[in-house]
Amino acid sequence: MSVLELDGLTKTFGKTVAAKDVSFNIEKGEIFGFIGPNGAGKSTTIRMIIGALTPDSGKILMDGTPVTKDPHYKDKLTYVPGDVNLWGNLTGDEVINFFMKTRGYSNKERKAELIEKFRLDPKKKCKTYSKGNRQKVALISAFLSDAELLIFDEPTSGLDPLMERSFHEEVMRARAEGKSILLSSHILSEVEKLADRLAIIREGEIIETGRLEELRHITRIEYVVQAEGDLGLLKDLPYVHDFTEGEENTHMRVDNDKAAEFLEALHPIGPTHLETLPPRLEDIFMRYYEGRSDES
Amino acid sequence: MTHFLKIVLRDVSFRMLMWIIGISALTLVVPPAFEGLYGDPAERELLKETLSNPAMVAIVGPVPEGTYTIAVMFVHEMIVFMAIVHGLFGIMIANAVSRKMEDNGLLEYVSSAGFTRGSIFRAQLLIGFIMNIVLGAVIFAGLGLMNIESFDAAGNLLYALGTALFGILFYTFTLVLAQLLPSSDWSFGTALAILLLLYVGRAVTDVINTDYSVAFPYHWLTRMEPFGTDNYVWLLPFAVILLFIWLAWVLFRKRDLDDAYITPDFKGRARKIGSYPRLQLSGMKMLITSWLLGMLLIGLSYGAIFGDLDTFIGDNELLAQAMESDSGTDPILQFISTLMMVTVIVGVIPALMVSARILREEKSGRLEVLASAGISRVHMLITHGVLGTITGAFGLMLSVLGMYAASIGVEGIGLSPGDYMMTALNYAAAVILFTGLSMLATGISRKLSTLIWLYFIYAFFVNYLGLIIGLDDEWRMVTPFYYLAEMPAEEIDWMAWLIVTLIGAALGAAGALLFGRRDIG
Repeated sequence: MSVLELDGLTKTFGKTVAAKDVSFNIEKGEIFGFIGPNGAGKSTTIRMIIGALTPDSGKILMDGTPVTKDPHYKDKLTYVPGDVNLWGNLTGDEVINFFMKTRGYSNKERKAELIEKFRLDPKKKCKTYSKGNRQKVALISAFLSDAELLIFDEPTSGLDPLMERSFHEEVMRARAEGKSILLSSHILSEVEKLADRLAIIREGEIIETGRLEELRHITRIEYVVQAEGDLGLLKDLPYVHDFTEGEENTHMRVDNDKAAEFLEALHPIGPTHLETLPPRLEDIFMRYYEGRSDES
Repeated sequence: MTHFLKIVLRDVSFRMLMWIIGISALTLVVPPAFEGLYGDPAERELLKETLSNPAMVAIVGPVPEGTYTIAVMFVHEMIVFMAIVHGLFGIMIANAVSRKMEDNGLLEYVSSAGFTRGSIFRAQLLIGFIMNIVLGAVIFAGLGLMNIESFDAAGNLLYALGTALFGILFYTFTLVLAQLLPSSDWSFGTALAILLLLYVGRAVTDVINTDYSVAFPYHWLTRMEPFGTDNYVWLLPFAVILLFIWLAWVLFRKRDLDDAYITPDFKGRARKIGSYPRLQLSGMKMLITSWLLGMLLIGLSYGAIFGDLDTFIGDNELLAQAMESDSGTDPILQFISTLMMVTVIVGVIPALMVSARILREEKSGRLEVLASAGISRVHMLITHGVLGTITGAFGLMLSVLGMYAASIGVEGIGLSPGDYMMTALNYAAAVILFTGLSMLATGISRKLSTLIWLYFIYAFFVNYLGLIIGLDDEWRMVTPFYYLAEMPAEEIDWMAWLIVTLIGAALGAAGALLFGRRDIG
C-alpha cells in the first residue's frame, strides 16, 4: 500500500489551472522526486497534500485512507516550505522546541546532533537569520519528527553546498529508517542524485512518472564522435540535436530511443572514436520544451 | 529620483486612494446631515449648551465663542475626531514607504540600483505631501461645492489646510520614528500610541485648563476656529514639521540600512513555548501590554475629569434638573456613560488587532506549516478570538478601574468598584460581538477580513454622532451599542447582554469552522 496516493487532483484559481489531473503515488521507504520549472504546479500540489488548499476534484489518500476521512493524517507528515518565514522575535531554538512540543517528540541528543550537523546558531533570533539559516531551523524540525512522510519544497535553495550534502545525508538516513520522502525541486541534479522515482510536472500536468532508468527512453544522450568521413551528414537527421563541431571532437545529442538508427547511420562514416555522456534530467526537459514549441 | 517616486506611488496608490475617498466622504457627509438636523439656530444654541459639559469637552474639545453656525458646529464637533483619522492615514502610508520597505529589503535593493539616500528620502517625503495636499484639495473643493450657508471659502481653506498639515505632521513624525526604531511594527505602534495619547492628553487639559492644551496638535486645530475667527496664526505651530523633516533626514543619512538608534531588546533565557496560544502570546506581548496600559491611561484621564463634571453640575443646577427629569438618572452618571461609550469603542481595537493577527501568520506562509504540523486551523482561529476577547475585556476592566481610582476623591458619583466592574462586563459583550464578526470574516476569506475595520469605523462614527448630536437611533441598530444598556447610567440589561454575547460567540464559532475549510495562503 502506498504511503501517499494522489488521484486526479485538480485545482484552479480563477481561470488559471494550477494543477490538472495530478496523480502519483509514493511507496514506503522511497525518495520520490517531483520536478518541474517555477510555476509548474509543484507547490500547489504540495499545498493540497498538506491541506492548505482544497482540491477542486480528485482524491488524496494516506496509507490507503482518504485524508478527508482521517482528521489526524497530518500527524503522519512533516513539511518544509521553500521559503520559511519564522517568528522574528523567537530564537531558532525556541522554534525547534515549539515544534517538538506540539508534535510530541523529545529526542534531545538527536536535536543537538542535527544542530551540530547543520551548523546552526540556535540562540539567535529568527529575524537575524539568513534564508539558509531559517531553512535549517525548519529542516531540523522536520528531521526530528517521527512522521512517516517528509515533504520538502525546494529545500536546498538557500543552503550552501556543504549543508546541501548534510541535507542529502539526512534524507538518505530517513529513507533507511523506512520513511518516505517527497522532494520537490527544480534543481535536477539533486533529484537525480537522490530520487528512486520521480514525476515531472509542467504547466499543471504530470508529463512523466517513473524510475529514472525508465524515463531514459525520453532522454537524449550526448555522443562525442571522431570519424574518417564527413559527420556533417548526420546533422540533419531528425533525431540528432545540438550538433556542434569542435577542434577534434564532434558533439551531438541523440534521442535515446533512436540509438540503433543513429549507430546505423554513423557506421558508414567510419567512426574512430565514440564516447557517450550520461543522460541528464535537463535533457528530458529540453525534449519536452522543443516538442511544445513545435506544436505552437 | 522620479522613477523611484513613480514606482512607490504606484505601489501605494490604491491604498492612498481608498483613504482619500474614505476620509473625504466621512468629512463631507456631515455638513448636509447637520443642516438637516440642526437647521434651526435656536436648536443649535441649545446643542451648544449641552456640549459645554466636561464630558463632551473631553471628547470633542472646548466650545467656541460666537455664533454657533452649522459650519462652526461642524468644526467643533468633527475636527478633533477627523484629526485622528488624518493622523492615522499619515502614519500608515509613511510607515509603508519607509520602514516597511526597508524591512522587506526593498530600500537596500533600490539603493544598490544607484538611488541615493537623498533621492529615496525626497520621494518618501513627497508622497506624504502629495497625498495630503490632494486630500486637502478634495475636502476644500467638496466643502465649497456643497454650498451650505456659513461655509465660506476662507473657512473651507483653513479646515482643509489644518487637517492636511495634521496629516503631514504625523507623516513626518512617523518618518522620524522609522529611523529611530528597529522595525515597521515598532514605528507603527509607537506612532499610533502617540497619536492616541495626545488625544487623551488634550481631553484632560481641555477640561482642566485650555492653556495647557497648546502642547497638543489637536488643540491647534480647535484654536484655528475655521468659519469663526479664522485664526491662521495657529497654522504656525505646524512648522514643527520642518524639524521632523530635518531630523528624519539626518537620522536616515547617518545610519546603516536595517539599523536603528533605539533597539529595545528583551533577551533572556530560552522560553518554553509549547503551544499555539503561548506562541502567539509571546509574539503579541508588546501589543497587548501597550494596549492594556493605554486603556488604563484612558480610564485614569477620564476619571481625572469626573471632579469637573461634579462641579459643572453644581454650577448648572437647571441643566442638571432638566437632565434628571428627562431620563430619571443622575446627570453625572449620564456623563460618565458618554465617556464610557468612547472608552468601549477604543477598547474594541485591541480585541480586533489580536484576533486579526492570524492573518499575519497566513500571509507569511507560517500558517500552512503550523497546519501541516497538525495544529488545527479551527483551534488557531479560536485561540485568536479568545485572546482578543480577553485582551479587550481586560482592557475595559483596567479602564473602569482607572476611572474609579482617579475619581476616588469626588463625592457626588456614588459608584462602587462593583458598579464599574459590571459596566466593564456589560460592554465586554460588544467586544465579543466584534471579535466574533472579525473571526467570521477571517473564516470566509482573507480579503474580507479588512472589511471588519470598515464596520468598526461605521460603528464608531454613528455612536460618536449619536453622542454629540443625537443622531437617529436607527443608525445604531446594526451596532451592539443600540441594544446594550448604557451603563453606568442604566441598569444592566441581562437579556440584551446575553443575546449580544451569544450572537458574537456564534459568529466566532461559524468563522472558525469556515476557516478550517477554506484555502489558505
